[in-house]
Order: sequence, then structure tokens, then C-alpha cells
Amino acid sequence: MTHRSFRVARACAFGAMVGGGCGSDKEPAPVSSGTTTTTGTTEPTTTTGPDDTGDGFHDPLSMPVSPTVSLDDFTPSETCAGCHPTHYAEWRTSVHASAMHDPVFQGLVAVRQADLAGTQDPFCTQCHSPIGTRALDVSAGFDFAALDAITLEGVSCETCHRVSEVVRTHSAGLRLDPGGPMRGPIEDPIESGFHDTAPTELLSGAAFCGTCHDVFEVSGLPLERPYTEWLPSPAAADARPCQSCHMPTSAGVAGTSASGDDGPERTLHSHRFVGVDVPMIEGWLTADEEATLRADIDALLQSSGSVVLDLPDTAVGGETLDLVVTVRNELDAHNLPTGTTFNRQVWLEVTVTDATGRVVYETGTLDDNGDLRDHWSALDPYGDPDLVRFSSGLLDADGAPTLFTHEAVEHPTHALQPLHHRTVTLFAPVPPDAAGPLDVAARLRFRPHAPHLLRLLELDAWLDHLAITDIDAVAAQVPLAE
Amino acid sequence: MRASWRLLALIVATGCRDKTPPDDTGPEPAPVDGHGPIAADIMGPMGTAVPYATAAQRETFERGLDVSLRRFSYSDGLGPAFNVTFCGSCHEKPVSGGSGGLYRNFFLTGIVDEYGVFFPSESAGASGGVVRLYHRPGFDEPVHPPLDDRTNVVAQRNPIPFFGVGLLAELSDAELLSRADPDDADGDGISGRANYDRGFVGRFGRKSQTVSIEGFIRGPLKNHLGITTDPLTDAQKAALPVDSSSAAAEATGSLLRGLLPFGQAAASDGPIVDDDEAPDPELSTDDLFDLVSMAMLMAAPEVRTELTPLEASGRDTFDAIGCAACHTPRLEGPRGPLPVYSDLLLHDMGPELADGLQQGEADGSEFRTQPLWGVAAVGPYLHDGRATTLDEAIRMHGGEGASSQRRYVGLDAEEQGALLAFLHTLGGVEQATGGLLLPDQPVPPAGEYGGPSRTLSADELADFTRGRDVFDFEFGLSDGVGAPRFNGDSCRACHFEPTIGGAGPRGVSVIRHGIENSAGEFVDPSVGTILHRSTALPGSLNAPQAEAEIFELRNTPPLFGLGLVDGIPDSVIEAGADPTDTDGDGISGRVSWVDGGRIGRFGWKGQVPSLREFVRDAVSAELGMTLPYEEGLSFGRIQDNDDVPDPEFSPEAAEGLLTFMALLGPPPRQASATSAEAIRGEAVFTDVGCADCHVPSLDGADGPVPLFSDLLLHAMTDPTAPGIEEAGASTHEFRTAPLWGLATSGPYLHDGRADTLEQAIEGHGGEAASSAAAAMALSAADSADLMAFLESL
Repeated sequence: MTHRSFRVARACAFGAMVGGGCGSDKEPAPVSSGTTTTTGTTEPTTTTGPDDTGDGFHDPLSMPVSPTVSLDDFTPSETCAGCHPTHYAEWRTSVHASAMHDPVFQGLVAVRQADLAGTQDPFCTQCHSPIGTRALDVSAGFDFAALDAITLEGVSCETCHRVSEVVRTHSAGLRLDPGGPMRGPIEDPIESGFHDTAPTELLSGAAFCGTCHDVFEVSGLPLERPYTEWLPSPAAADARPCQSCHMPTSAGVAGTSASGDDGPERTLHSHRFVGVDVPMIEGWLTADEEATLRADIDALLQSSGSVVLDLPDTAVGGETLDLVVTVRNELDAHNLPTGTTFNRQVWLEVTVTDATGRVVYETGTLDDNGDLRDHWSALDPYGDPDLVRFSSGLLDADGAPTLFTHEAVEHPTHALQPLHHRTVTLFAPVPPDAAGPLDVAARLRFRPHAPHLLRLLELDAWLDHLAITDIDAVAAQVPLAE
Repeated sequence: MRASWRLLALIVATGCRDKTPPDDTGPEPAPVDGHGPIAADIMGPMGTAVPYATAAQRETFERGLDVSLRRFSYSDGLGPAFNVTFCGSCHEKPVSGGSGGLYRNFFLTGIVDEYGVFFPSESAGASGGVVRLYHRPGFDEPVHPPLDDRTNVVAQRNPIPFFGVGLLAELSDAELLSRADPDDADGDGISGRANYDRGFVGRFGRKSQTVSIEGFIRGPLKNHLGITTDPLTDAQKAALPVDSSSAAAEATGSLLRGLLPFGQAAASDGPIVDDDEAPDPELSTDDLFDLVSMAMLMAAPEVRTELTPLEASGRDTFDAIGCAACHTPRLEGPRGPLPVYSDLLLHDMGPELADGLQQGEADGSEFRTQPLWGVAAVGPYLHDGRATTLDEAIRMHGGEGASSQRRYVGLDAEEQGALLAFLHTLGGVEQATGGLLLPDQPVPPAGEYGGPSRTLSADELADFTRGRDVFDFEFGLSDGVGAPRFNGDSCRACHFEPTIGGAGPRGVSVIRHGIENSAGEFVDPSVGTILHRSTALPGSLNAPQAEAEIFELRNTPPLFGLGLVDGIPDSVIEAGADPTDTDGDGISGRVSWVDGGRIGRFGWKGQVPSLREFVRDAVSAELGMTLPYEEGLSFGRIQDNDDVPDPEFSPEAAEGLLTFMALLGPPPRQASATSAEAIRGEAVFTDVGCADCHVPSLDGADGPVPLFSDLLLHAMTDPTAPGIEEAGASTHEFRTAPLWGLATSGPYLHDGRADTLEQAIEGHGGEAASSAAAAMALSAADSADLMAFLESL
């Protein structure tokens, strides 16, 4: 069963006074699919829950027992490049294209395959390759190397543009319509000799992204919920969906005909889907592509949060310097961090250095392996008692931290909600012989993965690629009182 | 018959509602026993004695009730391992003798070994699989005992009510066996089999694993309270309201067994002993006799047979969809038909409810049919309280209950409502509220415990009362309790001594834990320093992570007068601080700075800065519920990982709580305050230095606040001793505990280690060591005056 799946309206004593007591009014609004008329073959249309097949794992929509689509019904994205070279070139550098090739992903899937003896192999791929999973190219005991090219394309052109309906806004809740037209937001598409085309608003809404960017474990444990975070956010109130930041627009040509004729000028949406990840695959990106991507990632990150230091006018040797630090999520659309927050690392680094260069206080600094000095540090476990994190953690049934979602029963998070802040006070002991003034530096830092995870997955070669981005950094001096 | 045809049509018509084909609902329900007449003189309001009780039995009943509410202290023999301090802790809903809220769940655990053999886990010694949350300090065990690490079966148990159990004890084995159909010979999809306890048909417990009420009381006394007993003497057993003498036992053990009415005789056998210093038995057999008698005399809930048309239609539905197949409306006892609404037999309830625990004949998915008499008043429901409402409880039935469940789901809302209305006729509903307050319970006047701090206007009183209702309200899992861990399902769960808003006994102490790193520094565990007593995850144990080896209990402080404390200006608190002991009196005292540069004034470590934050902290940290974000406030969780939409606690509810707590009056001085001893004692209090930290009053917003605290942090233990860090307070620092209300807020000290005020004074160390020593060295007369003063607070 899903943990905590019981949510039934309750007659309660206080009416509206007690939140949750009368829960039915708090049900999330049903997601309107906003579909256009569909033609051709589509997947079965029964609305389903994961338990309907009776084994508590398979899902008739996203992880069927029998194939609901055929790989033959889909076209390689490279073919699309013939007429849509810009879109293809953008997509190729995106994590949607590398979704099935990412070595961290593959490593985590391998752990799941081994731990669960192949009983839940398609779980991760339900989103990373909806086509391959529904075609059952991905099946129990699968090997990435043996998968079909269509499957390995991950979230390919057709994975989105052949979607006819949003069935649910989590866990690969999209319905594929391989026989249907190519769908997109252009209202007056040019007729194509290669495919039928239909305008739809479906792909322009946040709910569309929510089909994969909200994920629940088989146990029911929420793993990722960017869409749920967005729903009550100021950005949602302002009608700014995911696409408005992650698919910025430009003017250009959407397609070129086989005879080389450009279509009319359109509003194009970037298909680079810039987030926080750089594909860690040898030769996947050119040096220039990687540099551009990293710059764009840094720009997004650096607009996402801020740090403010509030310090006393003076410090006193032998006493405590109280460092009041406020970290704010400057995003109005989702948490900082969001997505796979159990992998992401967002933390506060604060150092206090005296005039001789002696570090008198530090938190958020790394051990010699480059790891935070928390539970996972091999060199200095729990060596950083004040560590302030904004990511989440997974706990297994014994209350112990785990890196694997299939082992987790709890998922406590420290993420900041949109435009929310957290103020912490750090107590830095000032040595009696400290030389003034004291330099205080605070940085809000981000890293997509922890080095210890890469090491565990035997991806040591990629440790050098694991860049830390400073979301914000501030510094100040505090004189010592006489 | 007509009714059931009508229902069948309904089921067919609406069967697609939950995508269940109509032919999947199993065979037609068996004919129903009928909701016929009820034996005379067996029913009464919950918590009262059966009408047939004699005058002498009524006296025994009252004495037994007193025993059930007696708070056991360490010197009485509580523990050394325990969960609660009195019987009524768990059997309190809606009145003493009843069930308990979700927060009274306990863990029941076991081990299935490599040969598939099941045996109960040990928790600080043999406990029948019951996990003991607490261990008395000063023993080898940590204050939160570890569990056998081979434990692989973990379940929770919600307390069950005692109403009418004496009547159930009187049922003959034959009556129960007459309904057993272990092989489903009648093909109705319902089997039903008996569990046995030493050869007698079991009838008590979630798995009918027990037959003896004496046994059912002595076991929990040991496992949950650590209170030892000797078995009742044969003469006492014969004198119980349900004859339990060995003569009766022998008779029932003979060939006539099953024909004779009483299966009570199989009580537990020998004396129980433990290894604390209190002499065994810690409860006398006389007290035990009263307790067992009281349980046996509990009246059956008042089942109403005069029904409205709506209720009658619900009753027909109850029969038609097959509920009555297990929830047998009547069992035939020696006094006549009992409206138990249970066959007291075991049924397979399916994989979702299965807990893996084997008890007697019962396997991991079998449970006793829970009696429905009084059901409206004893939620939450199911063995682990996972269902907050009756509707949820029905929907969670699986296994043998699945076909009825599907029929219920297929009903329209009106029919479902009628069925629920019928269940509300089975007794107790008039006595139930959202928590433990009685319906229309008056607010005490200002100046009394539980009353407001001043006389309130009618509007203010209405707000106060509404806030008190929120404070008392027991939230359920579907309301969002748990994140997933939690300590309470209501505020009153912990704050009820001597009345709502007060302190809590040791049975609701919070467990704090921590990690000590290689540098000797304190590190928070992954879940924070609170190790919650419960969790919303069935099958999870809330185990501490392996590295956490520091455990410390936190006694529940009273909340009386916190609104006045909230009004004390920061400058007053800061003025008392002397962090470097510049005045050389040996007492430093420093302000507890918490996040955001605010002054902490609430909590054992002064870790919470304001009443508003205190409410938020408690709702999130203790109830595991989420709150709306409020700019500038840093306590309280605004998001958690269950599927109840956030915020789970509405702004209005939070505001209501705040109003109640802001207006909740300070604890009144006792009548003895004006005695000569108390007046002399106050001078002694000052002379020996107590008043240096326990400053008699601080200036508040509306005048002096006589709280007997400086609200500052003081070093109270050896700095090298293990402890818990919270906010700016180090492991060895504690806020000066306010002494107002001392007379009613025991046990004492942060971990509740002290039974008495003398022990509390003796327990002072660090900065207070010299004052404590001075107090201990007082002459007998001065000491008596000091105690008289403290007891007058």
C-alpha cells in the first residue's frame, strides 16, 4: 500500500477552524488534461492507480505488465532534426536526452535492480524512458547496453509531442498517442508531409511537466514534487508555468521543409531545459556546449537564493560571536532546492578568520574527500555539528540515513519554499588570543551530487566534473572589542 | 428481505463507482442474527457500573476506578521500564475505562526466526513484545531502552475499551464456538475461528488472545507500568463479579467445559517481580481485586433499539452488506442477549491490515472482530488507530471483510450516512467530544486551574473555549498527524495535569537524543533531537539511528500563565543576565539567544522565543502537523511528506490555540500560601540562594509575573556529562524552571527524575550546587518551612 493513502473527509467539531479536520475541501484540484481531439491509436484510457494490477507495483499506465505501445510506432529524434534542427540541437544537450545515459542514474538503477531482485526494474525508467518502459523494452533484469535506441533516447521528441492527455500529475502520468498527430503550442501549424500536426495548449502548462516532475516511490513516499510546490506558489498565481523559466522563448523558425523552405517566424521555446545538471557522459557535449551550459546553470542558481549576515558591532575574545544568517529562496515558483532534493546538496558555509589568517570557526566546509562532514563523510563523520542544509534526506526503517529511495520510509526535507527564508544563529567561539578584526564569510553553495555517492557508484572519474556553484556569497568584518 | 433487494439494486447500479464489478462482491451475506431484545440491567453510560451491581460492588467499583487513576511514581515501583504511569492513561476515551487516542498507541513487536518460528521481542527485559519507551534513569539501561535487534515484526496497538468486558467474560465457550466456521462450511466467504488461552476460548485483545480479565490487567501493569502484582487469591477470585475461582476452572476444564458459563478461571499464574527497589508486589492484591472488579463491572454501552427511519435504514444496510456476518448483533450470555456486535472470533483481514504478529492461534493477518457497542465514542479505529473515522475504518476492511467493504463503497452517500448514523446508535455518542473534554464542560473561573488569567468578556470567553477545544481535539492520521513521526495527537495529550493546559506525567515525556562526534561535540540526529514516540507508518519502529547514543527525557511542563511570561519585555530578562558572573555570586545566568537573534524564554532549554512560536513548534514537532508560513516566524513545519495537503493545521486553529494559551491563567497559589510555615519558608528560600535564579517575579506587561524564574540559562550539570544541545543552550545548561504551579506539576527536573521536591533540590548541580547543599543542610524546622512554601506554589 502507499503509506498514508487514507484521506477521507471527516466530520469534525470545528468546521473550517481546524485545518485538515474536514479535508475534502483541501483536495488538490483535479488536473484538467486540456487535451485536443485525438486520432489514431492511443493507450488504454482507464484511469488507474498503481495497485490495480494487484502486485502493488505495476501501473497500467506507466509500468504496464504487457506492452501498451510498440517501439516501431516511434521515430528517432534524429529524424525530427531533418526539419527541426534547432530544436534537436537544443534537446541533444539537455538532460532529457541524456536521461537514460546518465551514469549516476544508471548506477542507482543498478542498485535497485540488485536490491530488489529485478522486481521493480522499470520504476525509474517510467519517467526516464516512458516509451521504452511502456513498450516493455525495459523489463525485469534489463541491461542498459541492450536497450533499443528509441528507449535510450530517454525523454525524446515524441515522448512529449505525442502526448494526448495528462492523466495524473505524478509518476509518468502522461498518455502517449503514437498514432496521433504531433502536438505543440503553435496554433496554426504548417501542414507537414511527415506527420499530422495538431495545436494544443497541453504542452504549455505546468501540469504537463508535472506528469514526471512529481514522483512517488512504490511505497507512496514522495520523492520529488516540483509541481506540487509550484501549485500554491506566487508563480502559479501569476500564471507562470515551468516553461516560462526552463523553456525561455525567442523568435525563430520552427521548421524547415524537406525542400529547404523555412516556415514562418514563430515564438520558439528553448528545448535545452536548463536546470542544474550537466550530462556526465564522455563526449556528450563539446567543450563549448558544456561551458555554455554551465554558465546558464550558474545564472539560474545565482538567481535562486540569497544570504544576509547580521553581525554584532564588535566581538570579544573568549566569548561567543553570534552570527545571524538569513538564507532566502528568491524563487517564486518552487522550493530551493527542488526535484531530487535527496541527491542535491545546498548548504551554508560560514567561516570566521582572524587577522592572522587563523580559521576560528567553520561550518559547511568539506573534508579531504570533498564531502560535507555529515553522516556520509568517510573522514570526519558528524564533524560539522552546525551544518545547515537545505536539501532533504532519506531515512530507512531503522531511522538510519540511506541514499536509496527504495529503502526509504521517511523523507524529511530542509528545503525553502518559494520566497521563504530561514534565519539561523551560529555561535562562533572567539579564542581569547584572536587577532582582530575578524573576517566573516558566508556562502550558500550548491552541488548536484555528493562525491560520496559518485564514489559509491564507482564514478570516481567524474568527481572532477562535480562543480560547486555559489548561489550567493557575502562577507563582513567584525572588529574585536578592547 | 425487501430492503436487501433494494440495496442489491443499488449496489449493481453504483458498482462502477469504484471500478468494482458487481460480481466481485462475493456471495450474498448470510442471514442475520437479528437486532433483537437486549438483556436487562447491563447497559449504562460509559464509565459507570452495570445496573445489576450490588451496593458492595459499587463501592469496589469506585475504589477500582481510583486505582486505575493512581499515578505511580518511582518510589511506588513505576518501572524500571515503562510506557505510562497509570491505567487510565490509555483507557480514557471518552471516559475512564475507555479507549485511547492515537498518541496512546504502543509498539508490539516480535521476531520470526530463520525457521519461521515467532516469538515476542524483548524491550528492557521480557515484555510480551511490548516496546517500552522509557527506562528509569540510574540503571544500566539507557532511558530509552533499545529493542532486540533481531526484531522483524513491528505493529502498533491502539488501546481498546473495557466497557462491558465482564459480560463478555461471562459468555460460555459454547456460545462463541457456535459461530465459528473455520473452513467456511457455509460458503459465505466468512470463516471465523476461535483463539484459545490455556484451553479456554479467548475473547479479549485485538486477537482474542486472552480469556482472563485478571490476566489482561496484570500483563499490562507489568509491561506498560512496570508495576508488579501477585495473583489474586482463590478466595478473591471467587469473590470477583465474574466467578474466577479454581473450582470454576476445574469445572470448565472437565468434560462439561463449554457447557458451563465461566471461562474466566485461566488467570495468569505466579507472582511478578522486577528489579527496582520498591518491594514486590507493587500493587497489593486488594487493590488488584478492586481493579479487576471495576473492569468486570463496567456497564455495557447504551445501545439504542428505538431507531429513527434513517437509523433503521442504516441498520438494514448493515445487515444487507454483510457487516453483521462478523459484527454479530447479539451474543447470548447468561443474563440474556448482549448487543456486542461482534462474534469475538478471528477473521483474516487481508494484507493491508495484517501486522505479522502471531498470538495463540491467530496468525499475522487475523484479528478479533472488534465489538461495535460504543463505537462512536472510542475512535480512532482498527488495531493501530489508522482510521480516524468510522467511514475510513469501513473502507480499510480487507480479507474476509472485503466483500462488505466493496458493498459499502458502492453505496451512495445517503446510504453510507444512514449506516454511520446506525453505528452512532450503539452507545457512547452523547459522551464523546473531539477529545477528552466533556460535552459543554464549563470553563473554570479566573484564579482556578484551567481558568483564564482574568475575567473574560463573553466574546473572549467564547474564543477561549474554542481555543480550548482545539487544544483538546485529537487529530487523526488523515488530518495530517505525523510527519511521519509524532508525540501527540492533541495538545492535551501531554498537557493535562491537574487539568487541561497543565503538565504531564512521565508517560508522556519527550525523548531527546543526540550524537556525540569524535571531537566530543553534540550533533543532531537526522530526524532532529526529538525521538518521537509514534509514527504514522505502520510497521516502522521510529528507531533511533545507530550513531545516536545520548538519550535524555523531557518532562512535560505546565502551560499555565505562559501568556504572562510572553509579555515580559526582553529588557527585563536581559537585565538579570550576568554571563561572566561579574557580581561574583557564583551564579552566571545568560540569555538564551535563539535563531534570528531573539531571546528564548520557553522550553527546558529556553529554546523558543515567543508563545506564537511555541504553538507553531508544538504543532509541528509534537503533532507532526504543518502550519501556514508566517513571515518572520521560524518555528513550525510548513511542509511534510504525507499526502495530506499542507498546511494541515489551519491559521484559525493555530490562532485559537494561541488565544487559549495566551489567556490561560497562571497556576493559583495553594490555600496553604498564607500559612506561617509557608511565609517563613519563603524567607528560607531566599536565604539559601534559591531565589538567585528562581527570581520570585519578573515585571511583565501588566505588572509582576510571579513565576519564580529568571528565564536565563544556567550550567546545571558537569560540562563533560552527556546531554542534549538545543538552540543556544549547551548540553549542561538549562533554563531556570519556573516554580509556580510546583504543587501540581511533579515529577520534577527536566527529565522528571525526581518524585519529590526534596529529590528535585538534591538533583540541582552546577551553579545551583551550593544552594542545593545549603537547602539540604537546613535544620528540620527550616526544611519543613521551605517545603511548606514550595508546596504552596
